[in-house]
Amino acid sequence: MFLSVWNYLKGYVTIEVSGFSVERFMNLASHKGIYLWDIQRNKAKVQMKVSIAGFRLLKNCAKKTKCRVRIIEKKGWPFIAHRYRKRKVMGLGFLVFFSILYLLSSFVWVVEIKGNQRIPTEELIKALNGYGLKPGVWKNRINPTNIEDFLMSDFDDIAWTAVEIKGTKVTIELTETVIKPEIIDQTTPCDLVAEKTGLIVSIATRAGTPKVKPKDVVQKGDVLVSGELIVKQDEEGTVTKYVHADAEVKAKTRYELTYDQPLTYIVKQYTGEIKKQYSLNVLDKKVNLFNPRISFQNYDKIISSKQLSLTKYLVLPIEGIVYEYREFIPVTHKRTLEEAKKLAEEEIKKRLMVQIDKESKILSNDIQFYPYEEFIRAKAVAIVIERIDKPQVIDRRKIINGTEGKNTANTD
Amino acid sequence: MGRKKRKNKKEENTQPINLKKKVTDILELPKEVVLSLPMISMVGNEEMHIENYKGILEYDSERIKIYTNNGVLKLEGRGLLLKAMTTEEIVIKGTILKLEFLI
Repeated sequence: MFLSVWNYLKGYVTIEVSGFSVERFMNLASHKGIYLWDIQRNKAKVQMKVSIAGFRLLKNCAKKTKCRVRIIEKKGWPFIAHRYRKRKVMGLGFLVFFSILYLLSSFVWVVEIKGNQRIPTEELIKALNGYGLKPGVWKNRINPTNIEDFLMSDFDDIAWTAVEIKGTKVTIELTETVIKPEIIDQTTPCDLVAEKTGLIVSIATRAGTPKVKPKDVVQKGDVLVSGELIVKQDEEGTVTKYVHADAEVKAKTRYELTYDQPLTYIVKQYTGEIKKQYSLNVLDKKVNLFNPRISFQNYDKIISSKQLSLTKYLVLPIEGIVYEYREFIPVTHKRTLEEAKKLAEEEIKKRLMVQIDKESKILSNDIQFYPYEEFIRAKAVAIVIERIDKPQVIDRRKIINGTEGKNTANTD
Repeated sequence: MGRKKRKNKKEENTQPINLKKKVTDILELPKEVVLSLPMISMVGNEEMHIENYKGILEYDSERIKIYTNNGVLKLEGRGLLLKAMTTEEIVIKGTILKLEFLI
């Protein structure tokens, strides 16, 4: 493989030798140190390949052995170069091509940001522009280490970042810090309050004093389980202790949902008429190549673009864009009442599922339909059993007042 | 009988070679270097490398005769092709069926 490439670059000729003793000719040639390869017998003649330098020496051998040598094929770079030696403009063109390629590839054309989930990409792009990193910037101007440092110092949420220049593409990889979940310390005294209004179904207290019992109706914000624990109560007074209330309080809650389902819908009926517009985007400047007149009343515009790149990393600042216009006729269809009801019901169920927790149980879901001219209105009342307890830290002052003179509170 | 006769005839000439052979045997020197014997290696029956050859006597797509220090090496096969030929080495490709030393 390597040898054949080398031979091609150096140039070789395929010759045909005929005469009384071709073997003698070959022996003589190899004795002189001429490398012969791919020797093939063809009746009285022998075909072989020899390098250009070797071929010059062969003439002597041929004379000595009285063999006739005929060139069949010349192959290799020297012959091609010889053929094009007078075409100076072509050479110049090659030179210009490669120099433009080199010039273009020494700029940054694409900036890719990977790994951000919470930080908006726009914000990162804005920050990067501030550091001088944007498409069209000379590559030597960019110092990846500096950009990493800037990013790390300007964004608190970035835990790690790596800036890499590959070809004309700059890849910024970053890892965001993990958000600390808001944990209420188990030792902090707190109450459990109702998150929603509802009817208590069950209450299982692990710590604290329950303030409600099943079948009670609670309003949003009512204390369900108090963190105040009365330890002792007699004539001398009360001893209270404050704990982190812990309980599982389930309640029936009510959800009201309304949804309007239109009775008509539009279907796009494509006529098959397609017009295409081509344009080139060179260095953020759009050049329209072919501009047809669009006479369609209703159409879909489909834009597909392709960035020109030599390799995966050598992206060029040229983008080809194809605009495709597809004509359609809007056709209005009418739904029957039954279909509309079904769709509305599905939609309401979907919306309800978004609002409630996964562990909650839907007891009932009554949907009433009110047909109008254009649409059908669905009103739903859903009864759901769900947990409504939510911890709320007890006011610190209250604790201090309550435990005045006594050291029973486990305040932190 | 004939073998002995030839040996006697060449005795004076072969004396230094025999001595050389003994020395290389005792010292375990590589024979192909010291005695310039052909070094033949084959890849299956498809490829054959012969080092230290002296010259080609006959070349055909079915038969090749190569002159070496061990005598004439005769190869028979099908579609034989001289892949490369340099001063030291010769590479033969094709289907080799028979290999014979003509001493």
